[in-house]
Formats: sequence, structure tokens, C-alpha cells
Amino acid sequence: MSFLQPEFAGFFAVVCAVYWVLPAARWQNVWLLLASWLFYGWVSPVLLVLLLSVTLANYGAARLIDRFPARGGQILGALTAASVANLAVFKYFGWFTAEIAPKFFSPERTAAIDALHVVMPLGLSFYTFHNLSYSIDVRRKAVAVRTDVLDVLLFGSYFPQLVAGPIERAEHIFPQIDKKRSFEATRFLSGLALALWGAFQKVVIADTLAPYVDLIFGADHASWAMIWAGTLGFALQVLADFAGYTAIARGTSRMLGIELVENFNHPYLAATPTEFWQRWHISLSSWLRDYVYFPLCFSRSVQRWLTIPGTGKWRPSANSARALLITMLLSGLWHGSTPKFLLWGLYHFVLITTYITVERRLPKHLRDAGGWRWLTVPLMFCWTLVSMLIWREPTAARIAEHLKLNPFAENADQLIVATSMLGLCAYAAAPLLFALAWERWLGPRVTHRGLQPVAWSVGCTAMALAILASAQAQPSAFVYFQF
Amino acid sequence: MSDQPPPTLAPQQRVARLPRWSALVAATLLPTLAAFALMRPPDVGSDGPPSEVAAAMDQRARAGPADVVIVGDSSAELDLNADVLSDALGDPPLRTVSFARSGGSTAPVWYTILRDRVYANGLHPRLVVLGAYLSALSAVGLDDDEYALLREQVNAPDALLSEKTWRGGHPPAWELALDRVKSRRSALLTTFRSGLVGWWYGDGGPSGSERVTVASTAVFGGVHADAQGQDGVPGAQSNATRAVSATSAAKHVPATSPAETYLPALAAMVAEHGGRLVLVVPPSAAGDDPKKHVSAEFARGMAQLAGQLGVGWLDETDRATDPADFADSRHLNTRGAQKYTRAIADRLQDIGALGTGSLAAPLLPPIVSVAREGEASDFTPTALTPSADPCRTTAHFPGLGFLSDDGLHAVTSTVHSPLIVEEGTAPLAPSTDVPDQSCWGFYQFAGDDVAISRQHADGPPLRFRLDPSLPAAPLAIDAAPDPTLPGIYWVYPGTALVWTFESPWTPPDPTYDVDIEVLRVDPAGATDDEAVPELTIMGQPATLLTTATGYRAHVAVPSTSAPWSLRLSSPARGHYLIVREVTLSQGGQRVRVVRQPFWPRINVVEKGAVAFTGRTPEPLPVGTVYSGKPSTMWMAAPFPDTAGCSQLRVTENGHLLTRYPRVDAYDVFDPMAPGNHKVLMFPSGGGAEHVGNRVWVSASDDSDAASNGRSYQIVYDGERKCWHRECPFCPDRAWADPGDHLTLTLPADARQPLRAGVYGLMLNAVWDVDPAPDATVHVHIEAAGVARYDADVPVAELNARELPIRPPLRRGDPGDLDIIVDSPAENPAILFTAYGVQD
Repeated sequence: MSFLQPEFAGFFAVVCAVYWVLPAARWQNVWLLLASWLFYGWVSPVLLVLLLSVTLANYGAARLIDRFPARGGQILGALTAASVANLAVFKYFGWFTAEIAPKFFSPERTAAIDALHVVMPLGLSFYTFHNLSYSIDVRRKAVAVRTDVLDVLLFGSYFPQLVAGPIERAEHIFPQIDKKRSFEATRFLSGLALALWGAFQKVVIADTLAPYVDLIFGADHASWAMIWAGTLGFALQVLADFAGYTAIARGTSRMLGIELVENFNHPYLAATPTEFWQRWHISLSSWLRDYVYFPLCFSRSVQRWLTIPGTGKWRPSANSARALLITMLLSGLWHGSTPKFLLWGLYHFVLITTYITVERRLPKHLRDAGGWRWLTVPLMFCWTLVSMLIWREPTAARIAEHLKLNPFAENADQLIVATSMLGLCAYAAAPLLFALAWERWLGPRVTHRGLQPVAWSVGCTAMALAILASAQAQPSAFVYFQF
Repeated sequence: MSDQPPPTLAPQQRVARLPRWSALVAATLLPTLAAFALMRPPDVGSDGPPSEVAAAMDQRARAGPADVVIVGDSSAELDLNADVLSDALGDPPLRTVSFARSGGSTAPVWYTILRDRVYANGLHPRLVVLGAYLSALSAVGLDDDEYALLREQVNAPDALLSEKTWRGGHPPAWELALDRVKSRRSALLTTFRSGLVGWWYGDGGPSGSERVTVASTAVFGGVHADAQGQDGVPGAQSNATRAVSATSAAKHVPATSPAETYLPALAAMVAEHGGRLVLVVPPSAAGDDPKKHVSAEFARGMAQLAGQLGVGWLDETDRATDPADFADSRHLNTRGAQKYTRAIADRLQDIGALGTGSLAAPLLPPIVSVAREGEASDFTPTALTPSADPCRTTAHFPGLGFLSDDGLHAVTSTVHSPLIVEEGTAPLAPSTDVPDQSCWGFYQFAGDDVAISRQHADGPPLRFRLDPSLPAAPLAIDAAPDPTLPGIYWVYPGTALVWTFESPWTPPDPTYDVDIEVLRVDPAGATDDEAVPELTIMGQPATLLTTATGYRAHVAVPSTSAPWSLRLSSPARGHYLIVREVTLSQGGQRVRVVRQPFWPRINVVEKGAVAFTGRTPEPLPVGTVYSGKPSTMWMAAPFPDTAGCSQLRVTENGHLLTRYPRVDAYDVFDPMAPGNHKVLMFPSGGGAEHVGNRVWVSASDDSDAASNGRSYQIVYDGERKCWHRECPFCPDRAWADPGDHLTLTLPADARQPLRAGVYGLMLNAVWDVDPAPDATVHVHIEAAGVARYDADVPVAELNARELPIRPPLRRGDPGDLDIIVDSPAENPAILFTAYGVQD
């Protein structure tokens, strides 16, 4: 089931209506668990089997780790290998049968493999990482092991964030589900407004941009201006799409009394590459940082592996660079299985390391000066657009072809199309900028004057009307569903 | 939406707050007021003032008398240009006013517009041109968005409207609200998309949204977001109306017979006011046949009724069109509309629309049935070539290549194949791929060859048959009622195909013309002497002319209401024939009764170029516009030109008559002639021009090519590419052949859109043969007698170098800008496609 399907409104209304009359936390948790299974198994109950397998495997592994701490590393290693293998099989099956199998197997065997029709289950990337974080945190003793399987099942299956994040941590969720959630009108309405805002971003912004972006990138003879206008449109589209989904997830969860972490913090206002990753897909980048990057940097066993041969020494900066490279490549692989996603990860690695290298060589007074954001934010946004181009293009060859376009070889038609696309980007950016202004300046003042109910009703009404005005007969899938 | 708490202000900064109850009241009051505003009943109707659209039409009607009035739906508003029609219909120009209404208007709306906007305001046009699809003409009961368009026109329904269409009341309030919200969103999106473009180009000329639509079509072809009828396309059905119709329960109610439509009432109203009514059914882009929305029987009935009512009938659905002329799948863009309108003006004059005599009656499509005489026979390849793989073999059928056409191949290989390949009695399956190293039981078309993978390496002999099934007796215009399973009209050696035409209505003129086009496939053993098919029409033998791919005939037959037959037979050792097209025409009108959905392809047997001989010594038809030359010969082209490009070249006694045909576009509706028309019209030293299915040839010494004893051949150059880039304010593309002195001109009035002037120029050029690394062209640019640029430019840098114009030619400066290119003889042919101007 998708948030934007009409069935979801009815489903959620029933879930809420029952949820808020249940007398105890446990009843609420059971109800949420049943609702989550119904949500995920709506299309195919077979998917539930995989979800349950992943969740129960983590539950069992965490219990074993707690019971046999000396073997904790091995147990966690086995669980991690199994989880990654499971994810890899589903994620890269299509690439394997298209690119690898024909080179090593006969056509009959390749056809037989292809006939298996292994399809990536929705949300597998997200809930694999999500569940794995619990086991890792138990091993690190960051969170106590849960003996009640219900808690772990709910943590692993919680429907608002199950399919496309945010990737939550046990230490954030368990305290909330341990106590009974009581209905608060303000919080409920706040969640409703947040969910509406998410739907607005998806339907009014992302879905409006999508067909025009597709046209530009599908054109045989796109010009330089068209490609970069299209890239700008794609950058806005993917932000609105993904941030919109996260907002819906957080809003619906808030309506159930459970707070989820923020996943986007105006990423295009980042002034540096490192700041970008603190603002974009925060839950994934923090997951990779905590569970991949830091272990690679500071784990003694990994340091031994990364020791410079012949010297017995490991160099922090070289190791951190290697760790960063592995982390960014893994991030690329998480997003997709084709070579261009490795290129995407590599691009971000180069960007970050270049920034760090340059920044370290700057004079201290320049490094600490905060007044250069008027320059650094637009500059960083330009680099971000390059990464969006890499993301959007279907192949590395197309990336190279479009990067080599001559900015002066435009004809008037192409310029008009590019200008029209820029106008569309302005249409899309206007509400995002208004949201930023609301958050930073207008909202606090309105709240302070006691006008929040008025602002809420005006805003929700306007968003609802805009969503109705923009809705297509067949809503398009969220971009991050493909991951 | 923010999780952050509000900032704490110092006590002296606290401001007065609204009491909580008033805040709650305001919170609920505002959405309620918005709902009321959006759901208010429409202002127009039986008791309201005219709508904005109606008021604007009234104003237009009162601006002055009109000789010609255009009504109809968006196809009339966008495809028929009132100004062009005015100029084209006469000298002095006839004043033409358009009252067309886009957005899915239908016959009741046009009836009301004529009644309340045209005649009620005192206009008495001589000619009313109704541009619409038959499906809209057949609408009597309307769905909700169509009804909304009617309500914006009508003040008082008359008896006819009340009986057929008027519903009274209002659409549901929530639908009105949704409609209004979607309209505003659409307008906002258009403003963002087109506002900057419109501002840049300033006042005058096409609007910003029109420019965006034209540019989108040029860049993306016929398929772009605007083709979906999305926001920003002027006149196309808006998201609002489509969305409302998707949710409304009321459905469009079509008339069940032609007499029930509004056509009699429209004709009577126009006649009562002393005018003539002509119905123009517009063309559409390939693949969208609006005739499919009404049955063939209904269409025929409408044409007959139009003839009885004295209504002119111009059915343009079969008109060949350049995809670049379309803004979307149904509507022409600005350029296309201009070309189409001029052609319609000619047609209107052909049928006597502005005269005093009776209008030429429509040519009605006859009812057609087809039968086969004789038995289907086996299809024998000229060669059966085994391979080292015991499972594989290849069958060769000369001329079968057209079955490998992309469109047909997809059908034949995965759904149905007209070729039945059997191993003994076991059929093999058509496939898109025949892998090696195993016996698969597949076969695949590859040009004139059929690659076969047997089921058993040592199985029984292969047998080839053509599918003998015929489609059901078609009443529709198309040959096959099921477009996914085209029935191919095979005529096997030793058999005949007999078409029977039944026209219950006598065509108005004494004779009409029958054109038939036939393709041929050569089996083993056939020789040209014995292979000539026989054609008889109405029992009389008719002459078949040989073409490169088969035969064609053009026969005049007497008009009759009795059934008559057309019989095509192939001798026992003759060819396999396919009847590709049969067309009936009379007085400028044409009805295509058989059409096969594919074009023949040449069998290219060697890379680069292959020669095939097709010499048809046919003098020019009587009444051509060409003059100044004794005669010009044409030969049948193997395939039509591709809108301004041709891969064909012509040799005279083995010598190239022209290197590549030049492009010399002229403004007619038919596809641009990819050749130099002046070569044919005037003494020119020889040349060729590819137009449609013909290649016109002019001899090198301007002698009579049909009788000068020389051999002319059409040569196919598979290496040549066709380029279609355009610049809206730049001259047409042009070739610079080796040794050429080419002048390109940027006219002064084309510089109007520029804001400052011409400060630099970028020439865009392409070539099919790579030039030498040091190849250059000399470019001299001047205007008003002043040289602005003069230098050698490396050919390889033509697309990358901006040529500075010094002194610059400012916007207000007079004079055309001449760009003179001298290309040395050792250069390849260079095609200049577009110019970029540095403003």
C-alpha cells in the first residue's frame, strides 16, 4: 500500500480510531503491529514472510549476542553477512541476469535463471538496515536486548517508516513504545499538517516536475541549457519526492504519538560537502557513519587490515580516506546496482576529500569565518547538481555525453525549452522557499501572536486544494521506492 | 510543520494575541468561506449574464461584417488560421472571423454559437466552415464538461436544444469547486512555464505559451508533455475539464443515426441566412484516427446526409502530414496551421464553396467485399542455404524484405505471421531471435531472408505457405478491421483476388478515378515475361505500370450505383502480389478503400549504395504547374521522402545527376520537396527531386528524359543521414556543395525578436563525409554594404566557433545580413542547418 492511495486514508482512519481507544501500551503495540503487517502485505502476503524472517533473525541474533557475549562478534558477523547477502540477491538479481549470467552460462541456463523472476521487495533496503541497527546496538550495548519479541517485531515492521524510511534506531523507538501514548489534539493536528505537507511536496511539486524532467533526459538532442535546467528540476523533484514521503511518514507517526527522526534539513542550503550529508537523507548517512565509517576508521582489527605494509603503522588520514571511500561506494551501491551509482558514490568521495584537504590548508581566520555562506551555499549547490546529473542519467556514457555539451551550441527552441523548465523549477521552488521562510521567520511570529489555528486552517486548506488540483488519475511511485 | 519551538521574545516585544475562541472561529470560518466561494453556482445560464467567452465572441461579431465564419472545436480554433484563410480565399481578402471554441466543444455548442453569437449579432457570412471530428458532430446529449461549455453560451434554450440536449440545473457543487481549483492551477503553471519566454520576446507574435509549445514540438518531436493535453497548450482540453469528466457520472450521448445529429439544424440555419456550410474533418498525427470513434457506417451516413443537405464535405483525415507540423497528437502548431489553412482554402475553391452553383457532393466510400479465386499455393524460396549448424538454414525470398518492416515485423514475429513455415506438418513459431547451437523450432525475418532453426536437425523437409486467411468483409475504410492483425491481400501465382464495390449512391460526376498500388515478391522460377499480372475493372482490362517494387494503375471508370468489381490475377508462374492501396477519387475528393499498414523497403544488398532500375517513361500529367521545359520524367520511388530529406540519388548513364538533392522548401501543405524544384521548372543542367513516392528527373542537357535514350537509375545511399533542425527566425537550411558559393540571408524583419542586435553568429553545420583536418570554408558576412566578418573558418570548428560581427548589426539598423560561404572543391557537402545569434 502507498500513502497516496485512497485506500490508505480509510486504512489509517480505522487504525487511528481503534488505536486511541486502546487502554494500554501493549494493546496499542499489538494493534500497530497488525496494522503494519496489513499495510505491508496489502499487495502480496508473500512479502510478509521475508519481512518476518529479517525481523526474527535480528531478534534471535540479539538474544544470542546477549547470551553469548564472547561470540557476539561472530554472531553479528554472520547476521550481517546473511542480511547483506539477502539484500544483494534481490537488489542485483536483475543486473546479474542481464550482464553477468550471459557471459558465464549457456542461454538455456540464463533463461532458466531469468525465469525465476526475482523482484526486489519494497522497502527491503530500508528495513534490512533498520533491523540490523538493533542487533549492532545490542552488541555495542547501546541498547538493552529485548526479550519480548513483540517489541522487536513492531520496531522492525512499523508501517509509517517501513518502506522508505527514515531508518530509525532502537534507542529512539523503544522508549516511545514502552509507554502508553495519550491523545493530544495539538500533536495530532501537527502530524496531520506535516503529512499534508508531505503529500503536497510529492503531488504538487515532484509529480508536476517528473514528466518534464523525463522528457528532457529522454531527448535525443538536448542542449547544455536544457540538461542543466532539467537537472535542477530533477534535484527539486527528488528532494520533494523523498522529503515528501518522509514528511508523510513522520506526520502519520506523530498522529499515532510516535516521533520519527528528521531525514532532511534543507540539504540545498549546505555550504560544504560534509554539511550536505548532515542534511540529506540524515538517517542513512548517520547509519553509514555509525556502522560503517567509524568502525573502518577506528576498529583495531580493521586498522590491522589497513596498516601500511612494511611500516606497521596506520595513518589516520589515509585510513579515514579509505573508510570514507568504502562508505561512499557502499552508499552508491545501496542506491542502485549499475556502475553509475558507484560513480555517484565516488564523486561524493572526491568532493568531500577535496573539501577537507582545501579546508585544512585555509588560514584559521578564514576557516572559522561564517560570513561566506552567500558564496559557499550556491557553490555547493552547483556541485550537488553535478551529482544529481550522475544520478539521473541512465548510463555513464550519457553522463559523459552531457557533460561535454557545448554551452554555446544552442538553438532558440532549445533555449525556450530550457527557460520553460526554469520557470517550472521556480513554480516548484516557491512553496519550498515559503516553507523555509515559515520555519525560520514567519511561523514563530504567527505562533507567538496566537494565530496558529488560523494559519493551520489556511495552510491545510490551501495544501489540500492544491493536492486535489494537481493529483493525477494514477499517482506515480515515490522515487526512493526503487531502492 | 516545524518541530522547533517559537522563539522567546522579551516582555516588551510581546504583542496582543487573539482570544482563543476568536482564533478557533477564524480557523473554521476561513475554510468554510473558501468552500462557499468555490462551490457557488455558475453565473451563466438561463438567468444570468453572458460569460466572458460569450461576451468576447459578441464583441468580435460586432467588430464588422464577416464573409467567412469558422466554428468548431479546438481543431478549428488551432488548425484553421482566420487571417491566412482570409488572404487565401480571394483577392481582395475575404474577412474571416473565428468563433471556434476549444476545450471539447460539440455540436450543440456550435449550434448555439451560430444562433446567439453570429446571427443574433447581425452577421450574415457567405460561408460557414465547421471544423470538427465526426465524433463531436455526433454528440447530442453532453457530459458535464461539454455541458459547461454549452452553459457558457446559452441564454435561452430553444425547442431543439430543449429536446435534444438541455438538462437544466447545475453540476454538483464539488465538481464545480474542483473544476475551478484545477483551472487556477493550470493558469498558474502556464504563467510560470511561459511567462519568462513571453516577457523575453516581448509583445507581438506568438504568445509565450505558443512559443513554448512550438519549441517543445521541435525539440521533442510529436511526443511531449504538451501532447498529453497538459497545461500550457492553448486550446487543448484542460486538466480541469478532463478531470471533471473523469469523475462525472454523465456520459456523452451520441446520436444513433445521422439524422439525429445537429447537422440538419446547422445546415438549415446557415441556409436560412443565405450562407453555405462546409464541414472540414481535420487531419491528425499518425496513429490517432478519429474516424475510429464513429463507425464506418455512421461516417458514410453522415457524408450522404451532408450531400443531401447541400453541405460541403472535406474529409482531411487521410491527408499526409509532417509530424513536425503538430503541436500534439491532434492539433497543428502555428506553422502547420498556416500550411493546412492554405490547402483548405484551395479545397474550398475546388468544391465551389464561394460560388453560386451547387457544392460538389461528397464522395462516399463504397461497401467493399473481397473474394479469392483459385487455391493458395506453396511459397517457394529462390534459395535454401544450410549452415554448419545442422539445425539452421536460411530461406531467400527476393522482395520479401518489406515484411521485415519494423511495424509489421513486430506483429508478424510475435503475434501473427503471414508466412507459415512448417517442418513436415509441424508449424514453426515466428520469433524475434533465433539463437544458435540448438534446434529451437523458430523462424525470423531478416530482410529478404528468413532465418530458420528447425525442430529436428534431420527432420522432414521445410514447407512455406502464405496465410490464406482473409479478413472479414470490411465495411470500414481500412483494409483490416483489427489493426493488431493486419490482413494482407495476397494474390498467389495462379490465383486472383476480386474486389466488389457497392455504392448505393451514384457518385455525382460521370467518372471517377481508381488508383491501385501493388507490391510483388518474386518466387523461384518466375521471369518477368511471364509474370505480368492482369487487372480488370468493371470487366475491362486495365494497364498496370511497372514500378520498382511492383505495379500501379490509374483508371477512370464511369460512375455507377450498380455493384462493380476489380479483379487482379497473377499467372501460374508469376509473382506473389500484395494489394497495398486502392483509392477512389473524384473532383479533388478521395476515398481510400484499401490500405496496408506498411511501406515497402529496398533490399540493400551491399553497404553504401545499391542500384536498382526503375524507369517509367511517364510524361507529366496534364495540368501541372511546371512550365518552361519540354518534359520532365518521374520514376516511382521505393519509399516516400522523409519530410525534407531524401536518401535517394539519381544517375544518368551511370553518372550522378546530382550529388544530393538540395532543399528548397516552399510553403504548401504536402511534405516539403527535398530537392531543388527550380531544377525541374527551368533549364538547369540536370537534377532530381524526391517528392512523396516519385523521383522527378531532369536530364543533364535539359532534353526529354523520357525519350533521350539514356538510362536513369535511382541509387539508394544508406550512408546518408537526414537532419531536421530548425531555427524559428533563421533562414531555411541549405547545402554548400564542393565548390559552391552559397549565400544565406538573415532578413531584417527576422531580427525583430532580438533585443539588442547581432553581435555574433554561430553557424551550425553537419556533413556526412568527414572533411580533411585542415579543411576550411571562407565566410564573408555583410549588411547594408558594410563588411562585418571575413575569414577562413575550419570546417571542424564550424559548430564551436562564434563569429564576431563587427561592427554589430543593431536591432534598428536596416538591411539584411548576408552570410556568404565559399566552400572549396575538395570539401565534402556541408549542410547548414541553423544559426545561433549572439544578441
